[in-house]
Amino acid sequence: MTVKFAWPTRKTAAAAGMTAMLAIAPLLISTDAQALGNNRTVERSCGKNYVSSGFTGRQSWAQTQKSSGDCAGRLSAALVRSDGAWTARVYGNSSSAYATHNSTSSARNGLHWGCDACNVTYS
Amino acid sequence: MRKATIIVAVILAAVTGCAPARPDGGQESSGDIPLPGQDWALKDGKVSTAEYRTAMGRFISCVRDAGYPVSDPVRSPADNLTLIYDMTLKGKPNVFNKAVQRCNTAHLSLIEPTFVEAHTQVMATPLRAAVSDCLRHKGVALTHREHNLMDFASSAQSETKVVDCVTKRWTKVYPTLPAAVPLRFTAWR
Repeated sequence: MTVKFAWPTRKTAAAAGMTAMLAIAPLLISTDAQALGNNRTVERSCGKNYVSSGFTGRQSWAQTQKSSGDCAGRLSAALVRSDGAWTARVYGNSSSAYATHNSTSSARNGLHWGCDACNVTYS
Repeated sequence: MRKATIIVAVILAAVTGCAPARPDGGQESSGDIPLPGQDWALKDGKVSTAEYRTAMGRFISCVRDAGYPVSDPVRSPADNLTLIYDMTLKGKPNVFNKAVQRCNTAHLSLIEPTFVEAHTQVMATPLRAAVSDCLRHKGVALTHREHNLMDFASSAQSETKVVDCVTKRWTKVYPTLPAAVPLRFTAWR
């Protein structure tokens, strides 16, 4: 005996929609636009950097730190202020760079670069 | 069912299209290639105080010419080397950010750290006292010979504690100075 499951079309669409939401949730969580403190290791072809940021209640900070590899560029960091403007980009050396901003309003994101002309990474 | 499949495909395509292609923090080039606007100061591998001030002047003029007010720069009490300033956002943040980045890479980005690394950092006495007090409250045993960020980081065995103390005490000691504080733990010795 064969049992056939035939869902009504609306239920099928709802289930498919739910499946899609579950599939895309991790992607939404991992986007760069999320709030300050999305700390993680990011990979380049020449090595790895650790990007981190936070808010202590009176100031926000962002750090770009070398984890491994032989990337030659200067690391740099900045912050996206609560009004959307970026703070001045602070260039460190090839090991670490810090940016801080004093304000009781938390920065939106940390900004991180592996070299002067590199793409920006958000944390 | 077909309609549902199309909806799922459209949602997934839209989301993956918006997601960052590669959160790598960098392009394939691993080094820094200064734009021609900075070559004049970097070509001999050294940046003098006068060259740094000229580069800062060009950067600030560039930002002002783009339509954004910038305060006159003052030396940072954190290292007595870096010039700090306030920039005022007007209009759309993304337009402002692009303008500042363009001016920075054109005139200043690599000149400033090259200048700072070649000179000895000395933290201003009032800030040094405040940071010492803060670190002591964190349980750090100081040598009383700390003169700059690196000295404090060495005593604290932590850059994070020093950053926390400098930024916490900054506004109390210097309430009228710019809010963004560049901190460099550079080995100049």
